[in-house]
Amino acid sequence: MISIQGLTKRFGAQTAVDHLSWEVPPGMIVGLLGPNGAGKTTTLKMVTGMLQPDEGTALICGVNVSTHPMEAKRLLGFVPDSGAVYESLTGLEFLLMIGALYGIHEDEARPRIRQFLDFFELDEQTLTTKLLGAYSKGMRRRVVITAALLHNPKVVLLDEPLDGLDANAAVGFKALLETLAREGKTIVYSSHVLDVVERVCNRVAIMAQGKLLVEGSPQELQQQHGADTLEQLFTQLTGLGGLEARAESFAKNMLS
Amino acid sequence: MSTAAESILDMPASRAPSPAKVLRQLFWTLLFRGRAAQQAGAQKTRRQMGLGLTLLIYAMVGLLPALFAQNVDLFVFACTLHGFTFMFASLTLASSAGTMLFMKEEAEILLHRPVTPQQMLRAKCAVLAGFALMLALALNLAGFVAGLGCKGATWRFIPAHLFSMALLMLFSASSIVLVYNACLKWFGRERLDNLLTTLQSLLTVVMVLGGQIMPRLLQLDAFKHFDHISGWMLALPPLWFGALDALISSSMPNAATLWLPAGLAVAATAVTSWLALEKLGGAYGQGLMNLNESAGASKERTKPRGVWLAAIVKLPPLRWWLRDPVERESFKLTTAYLFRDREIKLRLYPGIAPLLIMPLVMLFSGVRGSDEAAMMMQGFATCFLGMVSLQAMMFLGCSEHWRAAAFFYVAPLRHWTPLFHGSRKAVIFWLSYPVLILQTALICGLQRSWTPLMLSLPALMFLPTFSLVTGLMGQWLPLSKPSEDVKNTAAGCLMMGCSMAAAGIIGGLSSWMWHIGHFGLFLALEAVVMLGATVLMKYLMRDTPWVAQPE
Repeated sequence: MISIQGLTKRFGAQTAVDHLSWEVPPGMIVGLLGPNGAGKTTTLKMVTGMLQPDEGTALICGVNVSTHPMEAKRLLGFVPDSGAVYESLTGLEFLLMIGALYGIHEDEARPRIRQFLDFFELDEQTLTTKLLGAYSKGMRRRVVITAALLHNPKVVLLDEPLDGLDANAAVGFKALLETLAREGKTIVYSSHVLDVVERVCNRVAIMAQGKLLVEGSPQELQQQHGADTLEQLFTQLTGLGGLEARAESFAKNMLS
Repeated sequence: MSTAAESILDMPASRAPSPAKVLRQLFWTLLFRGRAAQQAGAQKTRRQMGLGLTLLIYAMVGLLPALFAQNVDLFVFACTLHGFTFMFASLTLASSAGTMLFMKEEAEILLHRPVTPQQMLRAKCAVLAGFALMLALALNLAGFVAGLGCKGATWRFIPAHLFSMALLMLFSASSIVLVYNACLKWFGRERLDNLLTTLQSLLTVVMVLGGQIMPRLLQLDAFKHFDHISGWMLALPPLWFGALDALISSSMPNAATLWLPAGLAVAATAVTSWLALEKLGGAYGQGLMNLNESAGASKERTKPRGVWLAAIVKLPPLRWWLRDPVERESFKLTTAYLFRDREIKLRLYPGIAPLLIMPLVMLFSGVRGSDEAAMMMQGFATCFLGMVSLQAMMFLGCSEHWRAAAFFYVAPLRHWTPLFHGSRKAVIFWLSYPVLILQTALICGLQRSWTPLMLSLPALMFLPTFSLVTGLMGQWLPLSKPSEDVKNTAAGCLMMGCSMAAAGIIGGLSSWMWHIGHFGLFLALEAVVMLGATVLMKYLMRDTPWVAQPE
């Protein structure tokens, strides 16, 4: 599970995450939503130990990320939104290297990688001969997801994981997430695509200006706030109402 | 699919290979592969050939100090070898270290994995030192043999020099890591980029300057008689390591004077390594965090960017020079990349910096005043600045952001030439002319004469015309090719050849005409020829068709 208490991050005068407290129980897929600049990615980076918080603590299965970063990092898998990889390595070299960092020997990593290969329908020839720099966006994303799950983490953090995946791969990945959650993994799914979040996640948390606004199941939250859809709830909470009217007015002005 | 997922979950984790070893292997691979390769197998042979060629070139350069070995004192020879090694291997190290230590996306790949920043730093430093040692071995190959022929040398010279060379490379690697690490700790990403560019440019200048100074230093009495080591010489690291060589390998009468510099070699290596890896090792982690935080930190900036640029293009003379709106926008785009883009800056400025050295080379060569040799050298030096525009245009044609060039292909442009001319004019305005002014001012200052000012006039007319040459090679769009396309040595050699030939002709003619008293006539003739060449080249360019976006 993930337990966050008073987590704060400032960039100069700007507070990106403001005293955030949040609990994510095991066996759940929790969607993390928010407009651009809400602090979602910064929160995830603090939970992964990539960024040092200015205040507060983040615990992964009871392990403090700031004081015991190595132990905490072994427990989590992270898919960053950038999908960054070492482009001069082949897909296989990259995955073997990542596996080795988690203490997985090559003999053991290879069959695991093969399973992911089959699951994501990745071409073995490509994985062993082409360098990652020459991969398509979707293929690269599959490699990044494999790298995050290869060591069987207890907590999985996903930042826009479907970006670049085709429809079939996306459906398969969503099924994989559900299976992982059933196995007791804690999954945080950060995305801008509301309908995917609504379909995949058991609960959603909405952030704006570095603060957690609401947290609960989509149905609960919609009921509480009198919204018909998650999209309506989102625009209502993040103060971006009247978008349709604005778009209509803009289009009229532009066309006139 | 869920069955596959379940079977993955069933697998337990097992024995742990050392993360340090994994990281060393990773950085070693990255260092040699670079970013260019697309096919792992197909590029392997080319990479090995490239490495082999580099080592061969280093081995050949190593012949140079080896020629000094006959009848030279062992200490002097060892200092020469270490001087060359320090200069060449350290320069290569400095450029490789920047790329390795400041990999933009590395934080997103590794910082959330169970490795400490210190482990990453140690692995990088080990790889850099290993790489430098390989270069140093090639560079010293001839020296190992030639050193045995020095005065007072014994067989112990070979193991002693091997040891001191390894120590020197460790010292170089840790010094470079220390400097970069300190920069990471104390400066933000944006300032860091500028610092790195300056640092690399300075290192290039130091190398070129060192190449001029080294042979002269060796003629000093202090070097010929090692028992007179003066205070200032103790500041030279090659001397410390040379002393170590001489102390271990020869039976010299005044060996006692070598203990201090030899001790400095060992102590400086130990202290630098400790500072770089242990004391500031933690700062590396913080530095990588800073790189990671840069997106957020940039939000602090409240002043809008590019205001001065937007204003300057609306003022004369740029307003008259950039009448075409596409040219103007291309000028602005190129200017932004010349000043803001780290990749362009790191490639371009260290390449241009040595051109400013020419006046100092003239000074060291003893050519001054109004003699023909000095004038010819100046004519050549100023016209050789044509190389600046060719080099800049070559770098500016490529970028990490080459995919954005799709905008040029979808925009309703009649031809590619306005984009080319905009970039070309930016290069002339921001690089060629300022470098010409700086170079001329340096020569005027060093020669205490106004004559060089007049002698720079032929270059003033020549540079804009010569900058059109890039456009003759085919369609040119700014930042439109992948970065790896820039590594074309054949094109680089051709450019160098063209620039040298043109500079030689114009420089030679101008100094000759000055001496026979027809410099004014020469300027008038040159103006006509340059105008004609400009019209012709622009006409030829218009015939090069506008090709749709390549695959």
